[in-house]
Amino acid sequence: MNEQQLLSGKNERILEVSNLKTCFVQGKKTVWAVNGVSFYLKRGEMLGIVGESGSGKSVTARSILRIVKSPGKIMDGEVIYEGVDLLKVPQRKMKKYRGNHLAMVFQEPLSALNPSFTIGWQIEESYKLHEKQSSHKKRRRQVIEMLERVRIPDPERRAREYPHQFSGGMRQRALIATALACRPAVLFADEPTTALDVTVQADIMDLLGELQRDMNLSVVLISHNLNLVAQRCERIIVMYAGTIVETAGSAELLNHTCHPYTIGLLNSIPDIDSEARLVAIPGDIADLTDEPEGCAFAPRCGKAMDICRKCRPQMRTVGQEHTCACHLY
Amino acid sequence: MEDKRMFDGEQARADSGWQTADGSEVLLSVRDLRVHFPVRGSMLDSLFSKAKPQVVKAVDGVSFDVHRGSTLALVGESGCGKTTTGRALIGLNRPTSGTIVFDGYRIESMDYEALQRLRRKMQFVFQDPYSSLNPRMTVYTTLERSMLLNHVCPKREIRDRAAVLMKTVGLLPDQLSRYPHEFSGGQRQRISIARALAVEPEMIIADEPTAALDVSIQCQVLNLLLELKERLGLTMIFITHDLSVVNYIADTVAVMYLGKIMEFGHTKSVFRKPGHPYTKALLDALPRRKALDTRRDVKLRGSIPSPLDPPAGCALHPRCPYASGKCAVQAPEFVQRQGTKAACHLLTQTENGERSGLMA
Repeated sequence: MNEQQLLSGKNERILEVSNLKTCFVQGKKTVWAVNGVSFYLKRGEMLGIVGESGSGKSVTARSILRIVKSPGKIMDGEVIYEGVDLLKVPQRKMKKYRGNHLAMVFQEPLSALNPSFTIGWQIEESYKLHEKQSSHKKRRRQVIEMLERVRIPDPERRAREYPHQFSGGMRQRALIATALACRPAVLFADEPTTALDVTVQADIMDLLGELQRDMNLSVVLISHNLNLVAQRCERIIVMYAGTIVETAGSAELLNHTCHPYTIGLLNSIPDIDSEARLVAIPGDIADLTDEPEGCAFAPRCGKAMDICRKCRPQMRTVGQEHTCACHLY
Repeated sequence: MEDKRMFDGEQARADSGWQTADGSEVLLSVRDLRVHFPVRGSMLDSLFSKAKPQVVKAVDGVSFDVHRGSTLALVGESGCGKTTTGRALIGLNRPTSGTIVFDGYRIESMDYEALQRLRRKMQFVFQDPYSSLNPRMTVYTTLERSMLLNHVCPKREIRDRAAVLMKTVGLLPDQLSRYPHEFSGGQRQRISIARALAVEPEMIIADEPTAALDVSIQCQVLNLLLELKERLGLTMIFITHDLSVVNYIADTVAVMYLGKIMEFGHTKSVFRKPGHPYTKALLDALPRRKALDTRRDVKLRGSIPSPLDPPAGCALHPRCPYASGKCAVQAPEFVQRQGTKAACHLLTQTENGERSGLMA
């Protein structure tokens, strides 16, 4: 196992994010969407980021790729990829990294694909941008290969078709092909299966797992579906109100859940093997306009103590590769 | 009793024997329901081609009973006809053939006015709370409209009743004067539920009411529906694609595929011992917390065929890993099992001992 890990560089940290802060300024209001996020991604692993909408999981991924839409702004932090701090790279040089090294699959395949160009054209575009010298013929071959790779039947014909001629699952496959065209090392998949049926979801996730192994890809899977992430990812990051509240291996997170928010989340999701009555987390999701003094979850937490309202909890190690930001531990 | 009188004279009770063996009353009975939609080609096609006009068989021969006070879930992938079935039950899609009997009244042949009156007893909660509420109406107007149109109570009582409704669904009566955009997704779905409850219906048909909501909000809405069902004795039809939600909320489940019911029965029996390969495939694809592996015993091939040209025999056979020659020719009949029935040739063969052990 150890030797294998060394050979595949399994323990090498390909991406290291520290104290990432992104805010959105609207007039006098400042919304801290990502507020001091630190994590690492190992080469070849699938890491899950879980949280409700508004927890900052998508903005974290967008910040790393530096595609946060205005009025969003990255305020602070470091994103180290291959020894380079991506946040300090000039915007025009970021193009070299996006697609080539870091790529992203977006949530809604219909809006992420351009309806007026063929699927083949859209995949070819990545090659045009990143391999300027290649011929059209060679690029076309690469496109067909890529479509084959994501298991699209009859790729030559499908490459000439438009997005509306594809089913939801096929569109998502085409989008994955676009993202992986230039063989990136890191792939961010932002809710890649949310709009799809369970069977298609399982197929797409199988495909992602296969590509991850074959291409030694590191995948960051962003999802609100904790059951899905626990099944597919080796490690999980749980986010709440722009901060990471808990990180652990999947089995560890389910068996030794620490943070009250993660416990609340697990108790509120229906699971087919469980008969227990679901318990909703009381209250509404935190208002991110002003930075909370203490723990962001304290107003909704049943175990909140005085210290929770005054002092922001630090990440503490509570088990093997298991950290949790809560004053209880 | 008052509303019963409204139907008298216009719609005779279709049947009088509405007591089943176990004593519970069948509130809704659907027999061989078919909803077909004609597909219009271009004008040139219709002028010059001799091809027959095509028909999408959205619902194709669906039968089930819903007992008073119970919850039935219609579940399946997109395009399986679950929403069309739900809409046909309340008269939003007119059935091509088949019968729908609700509380003794034949729905499929009702005229518009009779349907209007029927909707006092049967209400629909739509999937998307952003588009199903009128953005130009305050919550109060939305609820008032529903009560006025259905003559629920004298005008002077409407305000009080609206306040009670708000409390019932966990909102504040003070919020009555607000507009939909001032509420979050979960709150809007609560308003939709309040609007449905405003006419004191006997049955609610909910079409994916939690699909657009966040996980923790979904839990609140599901619990609200469960609580309302227990407190008001509501009968519910719950349309969803999420099997874990079905397991949580429904007493019985109908698994649909390409307009047909593949398996029907008590939720626990169906999910614990699925009889149909399609049910098994859906269950296998579901991420479960108990077993964190991604192994799938039954994996369907390809994708859903076009409903314009559904496969002959068993609709699932081109995708089913267990399909044999018989499946392509002959449509399977329902086979009764413990607490469930499933339409699959595999089950009859197993009984004859030709094949066994596939569906453990």
